[in-house]
Amino acid sequence: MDEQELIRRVQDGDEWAFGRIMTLYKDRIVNYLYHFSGDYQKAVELAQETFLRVYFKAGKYRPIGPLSSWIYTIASNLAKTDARKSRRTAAVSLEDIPNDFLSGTFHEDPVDPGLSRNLREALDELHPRYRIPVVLKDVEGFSQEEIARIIDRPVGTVKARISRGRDQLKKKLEKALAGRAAQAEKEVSQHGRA
Amino acid sequence: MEGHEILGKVKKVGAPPDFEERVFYGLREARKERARRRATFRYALAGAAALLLAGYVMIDRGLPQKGIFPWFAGKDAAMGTDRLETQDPSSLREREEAGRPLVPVLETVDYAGEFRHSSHEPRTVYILEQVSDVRTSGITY
Repeated sequence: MDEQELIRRVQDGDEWAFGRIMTLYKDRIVNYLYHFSGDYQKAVELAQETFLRVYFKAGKYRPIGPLSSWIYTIASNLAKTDARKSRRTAAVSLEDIPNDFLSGTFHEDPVDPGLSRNLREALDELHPRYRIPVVLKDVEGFSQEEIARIIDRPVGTVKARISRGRDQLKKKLEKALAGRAAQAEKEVSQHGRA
Repeated sequence: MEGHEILGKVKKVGAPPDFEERVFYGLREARKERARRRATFRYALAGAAALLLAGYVMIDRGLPQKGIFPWFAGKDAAMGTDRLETQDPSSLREREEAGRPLVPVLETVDYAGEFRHSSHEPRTVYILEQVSDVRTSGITY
């Protein structure tokens, strides 16, 4: 049964079809929201809310685009709203943010854990306007046209945001890596003196 | 290696094993909540409609005449719409006896006679004017 048939059944209140859609998308949505928020628990909560909205708003879905774009649109909107709320309610240091790369909810990473951490921090600092297209493109592998549909912006805007987001990410990473190198040098010189 | 290239290589996370149960639990709770809200809304709507109706009936049926809403009756008098036309002649007489200045103008129109005796001569038109500036609300035409 294809996705369009599944969502049509969900529109009729079929929970089995809803369960199928959830099975198809739950990991991708949790992963996307995790890379957006940097907090696994929050990502799971937002993903649950996303699927509840998929069920209750199924009647509003129009088969003009793929179902995945619609679900990612809901997830993106929820993530943006949550990010706005978090900015309003609390301003915490990046050091205080629980880092799931190190806390065990995340499996061993193929890339350097320190680099991953820096990347996580650099992503957190990125404005949602750039973070969403960058994550959708580089983590989820969507095309620019699909991202344009998800965030409801022209393709040109999406291209510009991805490019600017990547540039910012690169600068932040370079800064963090320079800091790490300086720290390592300091440690080496201290050991040498000892 | 560029940042976005590293992003692509970062290991992906998945949903926890009980994710679907939690969503279905949330679904049941949301349904209950929606049903509760719908019922509350229905009662609130019915209550508001009943209040509106009661308010309309209270204002429309007699309360202004009984003096419960004096400001309402005063406004009526100032506007010259004191409902004289709805009152019977005996109540007018009572008001006259009570000393309130009252000029009742009761005129019946005999259309048949009007047409029968109509002439081409210009007719006299009486214009009733207020002659005193002292008391405006007391004069009722």
